[in-house]
Amino acid sequence: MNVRYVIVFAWFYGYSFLKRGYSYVFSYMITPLSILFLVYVLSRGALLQYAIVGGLISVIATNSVVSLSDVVMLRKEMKLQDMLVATRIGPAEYMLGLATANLVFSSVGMIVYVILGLILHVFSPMSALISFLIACYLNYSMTGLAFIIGTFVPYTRHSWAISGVLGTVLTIIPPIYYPFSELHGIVKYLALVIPSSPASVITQGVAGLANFNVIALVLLLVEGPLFVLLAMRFSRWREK
Amino acid sequence: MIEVEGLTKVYRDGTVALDHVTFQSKAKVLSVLGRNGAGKTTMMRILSTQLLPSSGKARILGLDVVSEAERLRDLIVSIPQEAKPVGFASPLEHLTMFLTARGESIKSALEESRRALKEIGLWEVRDKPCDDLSGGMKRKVFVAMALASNAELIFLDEPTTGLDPISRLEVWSVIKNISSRVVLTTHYMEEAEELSQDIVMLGRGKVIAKGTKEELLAPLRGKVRVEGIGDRLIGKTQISYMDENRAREIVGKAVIKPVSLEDLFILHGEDGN
Repeated sequence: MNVRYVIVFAWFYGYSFLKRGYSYVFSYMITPLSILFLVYVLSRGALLQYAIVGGLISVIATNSVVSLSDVVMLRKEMKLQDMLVATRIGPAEYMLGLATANLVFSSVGMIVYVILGLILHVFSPMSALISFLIACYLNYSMTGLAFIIGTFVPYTRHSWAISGVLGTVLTIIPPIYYPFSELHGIVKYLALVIPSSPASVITQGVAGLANFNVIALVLLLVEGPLFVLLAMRFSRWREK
Repeated sequence: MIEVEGLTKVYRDGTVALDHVTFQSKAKVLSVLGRNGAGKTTMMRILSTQLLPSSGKARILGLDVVSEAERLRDLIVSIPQEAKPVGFASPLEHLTMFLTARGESIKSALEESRRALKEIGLWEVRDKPCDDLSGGMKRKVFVAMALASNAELIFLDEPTTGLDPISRLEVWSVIKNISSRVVLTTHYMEEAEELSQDIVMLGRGKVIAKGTKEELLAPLRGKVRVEGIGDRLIGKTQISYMDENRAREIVGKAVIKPVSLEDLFILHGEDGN
């Protein structure tokens, strides 16, 4: 594993993007902030805590899903993947580089939500730290999922549509902005399959908004390495 | 040393991109020529371990491109034809990232990147986002990546497409002086003539000619190209080849030009027969 490459790629693709494309930071924050506003108004402040926790998870989950488009663009338009296939780098390192770059790029949004959570007493310093780490972990599992899909998407324009659909499916429909307890029956368990759900449920638990859910914790811990392994095994790297 | 034997690539849609391509080359610079769709890029991708062949063998620097790809990747660099830099990242960031991917330490990658950027004339713009560079400079970022790599063999797929004449000469100078062996594809015949010792010409996935420039032009030795007379048609222009002495008799009735590698495409026709 070339960890040096992962770090340098994060500097190359994450930090440079953050430094020179800060308008995108506003772009990825506007939806969660709008939802936060709506939740606040509609619930008269009662569900504000969920919107803060949801915003933190949503920022990282959305950017991870959007990295699917980056995977396709870097492969189809920039030909960067082709260049890297002909080096020592394998799909796992490439994916981890992308995920770490995504983490760097998303860090501003994550920090904004952690600070909001601290100011509004949703998080204690310890729960803020744990929630931040959960979001970091989620970043890797969801980028792994996005990478697997991205390597199979044949056209760049398709990737925009797919990431748009997945963005909604993975960050709006699951119990991210609302209590997990609102779901019942099989839907409750189906929702947990979506990687952003267990991360959100655990964060809600850490913030004291819900009971601690062991199944969600197990799923979150399993999904991280699982998606990285699947990315190594099933992503399209050297073309056939 | 490049050894290619019976290399064939059939894509899933049935397109035969390479059809039993066979050649060998020990040249420092090998040019692969061919029209659009001739199979040049497919061959470059297979030889540089990006794409698996359907059948056939290829050995680069003594290593099989399929079974020994991992070891081969330590020795080669491939710059694809349509590579574009990441707009927000700078030339220095591109080179450093690429060199760490090749296993260099960050310190060494930075040093080599700076050296290559100076050598290729991008030092002044090393920290500018690539979006702010001209088209030629963007292309030179990739040539600098190859230069900085110190690889034993560099694959350059149309490295000078879109460059202005001066930038093209600068890239030629880099290729001439680089210690690595180079395999390049190009549409520019003068580029192949200027840079390469060996030439392979592809037509619809098949080798239509191979050898040195002199060997390839041997069938046309002592002849000139005559435009305006002849039974070959390129667009609406009639083409033929005549002995120089005979061509003198028709001066004024047709356009007479010296032969070049370009004429091999005309001789072999569009279908490579």
